[in-house]
Amino acid sequence: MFKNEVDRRKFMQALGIGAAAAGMGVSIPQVVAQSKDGNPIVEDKSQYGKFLVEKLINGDYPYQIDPKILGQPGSASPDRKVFEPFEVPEETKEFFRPASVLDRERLVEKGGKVPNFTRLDYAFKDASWWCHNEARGVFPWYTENGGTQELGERSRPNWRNLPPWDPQDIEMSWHDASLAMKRAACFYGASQAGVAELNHLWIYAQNSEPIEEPHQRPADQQETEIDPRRYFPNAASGPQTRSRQRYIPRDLNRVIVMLFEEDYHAIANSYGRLASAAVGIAYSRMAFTASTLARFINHLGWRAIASGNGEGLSVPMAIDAGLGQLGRNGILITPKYGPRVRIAKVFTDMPLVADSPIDFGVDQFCQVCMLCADHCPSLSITKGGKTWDGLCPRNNPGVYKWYVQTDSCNAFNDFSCSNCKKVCPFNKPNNFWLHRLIRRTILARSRSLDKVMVSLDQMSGYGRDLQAADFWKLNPCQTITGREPV
Amino acid sequence: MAEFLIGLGIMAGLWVVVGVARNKQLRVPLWGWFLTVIGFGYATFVVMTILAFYREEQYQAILTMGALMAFPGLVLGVFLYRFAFTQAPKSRSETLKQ
Repeated sequence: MFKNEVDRRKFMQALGIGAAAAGMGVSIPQVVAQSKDGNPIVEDKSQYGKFLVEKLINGDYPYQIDPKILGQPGSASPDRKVFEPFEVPEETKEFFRPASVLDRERLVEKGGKVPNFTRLDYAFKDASWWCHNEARGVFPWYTENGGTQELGERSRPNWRNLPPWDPQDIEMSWHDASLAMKRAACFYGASQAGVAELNHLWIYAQNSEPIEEPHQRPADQQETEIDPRRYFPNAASGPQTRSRQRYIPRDLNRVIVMLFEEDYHAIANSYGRLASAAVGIAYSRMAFTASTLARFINHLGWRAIASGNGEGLSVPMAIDAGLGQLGRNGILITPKYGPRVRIAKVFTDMPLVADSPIDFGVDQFCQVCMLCADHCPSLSITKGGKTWDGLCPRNNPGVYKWYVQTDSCNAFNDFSCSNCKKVCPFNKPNNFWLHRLIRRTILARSRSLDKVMVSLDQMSGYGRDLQAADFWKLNPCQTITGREPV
Repeated sequence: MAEFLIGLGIMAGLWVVVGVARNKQLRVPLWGWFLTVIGFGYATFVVMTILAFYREEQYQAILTMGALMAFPGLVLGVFLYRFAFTQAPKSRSETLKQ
């Protein structure tokens, strides 16, 4: 006959064995599965913040392009101020006034006492940009004598007259060398780094080496006129003068892309001045780190050009380097930091081994989430589906994505808003096991599950404003980064 | 430290339940014990989640997620109390003695 009573000792033993088995179960190796396409699905707490990430090793990319529309390599729209009229939302109309008017009103007329726009916040913001603004010269691109093409020639054997470095000299492979470059990037100040083969489609038109012209141009090349209407048929302005024509040589076929995390708490102050400070300090770090890494590569005898936002489109290069995916808000979504990053890059001819692009379910999640579109004060983010056509002249048609009205985004509050980052569910500090647990469900690509996650995110109060007054009361050690446990 | 105390508290709670069941000579079926262990595991999960939200200073999350997550635990507790931890029916000999 079955004895229904349980011996307490045996029960406790069974409990202990069960707990040990559960502990072994959660210790999962790095490659956890294979996708239908044969790509490995990996997880890595330090690099991917516990997301399950599919590595696209078959030469696939997590985006679609139409070469007929996108054009030839080097046809990407340049980063130029050409504005089209756009509709200004009534609720946030006051924020579309010129920066000088806004600043005067907040700092002078209201005595620097407007919450989130106090004199303290303004000074904090302006100081954070200082290194970037003062040190534009550290990007060799901008130096008076250092046009890109001649920089390439001058920098190669210059350092101690040594030939280009070969990692095999010290029994390293090029794979190890790539790892060393990423290590150096993080050592100099990047939060994360990746390597991609440089796709010249992403180089701005005025920075792309013309195919028909000889590689070496005279350094003191005459001034060149560029007509924005060449790129934007509807542009109102006429020809613009560029001081010099500079371009990325085609044999610079690798790009090291670096991410710079922005402070979690400061971004939560968007669109107050503290969010601008988080952006500014990331730019300053970009200037220092990219130029230092380029110098390091130069000293190894290889050519390198440091670049911030210029020269080419950073987001697709970062996607190619396996650092993230494009979100609905038009910016890079990374596994570890979400959208809370700035991007810098170094172009080089060092034959580094490229990383694989990744897919961790951003596309599917952004289709159902909509939080960034709901909270965009300039109505720049679409709630519709992906398209091949841009919404304004500064978009590059020919990529199947959610286009962003960059003109209105740019004009809002002196181009100083991070609402789309603040409310993005991917924007969570990497310090909480529950976030990491939920991240593992994203790759399941279930629309209903994603909707539940978004609802829970909102119910839990994430994405709310952090007032500047509260920011200043935070533990100082907590304000540097939100990525690690306090 | 907080995690250690929570673990200690949960284990002590389980110990107490087992002790009470023995002292009161409750006849608890095997599925009852199984659900009890699951319930205590779930309680650990809920308390740890609340602790994590507290550390992240997400006080709204403590309220909403705490309430959401506590409800299934409450239902399970009532169910176990009503159907699993019941007094065993007295045997015939005991009844005769009385």
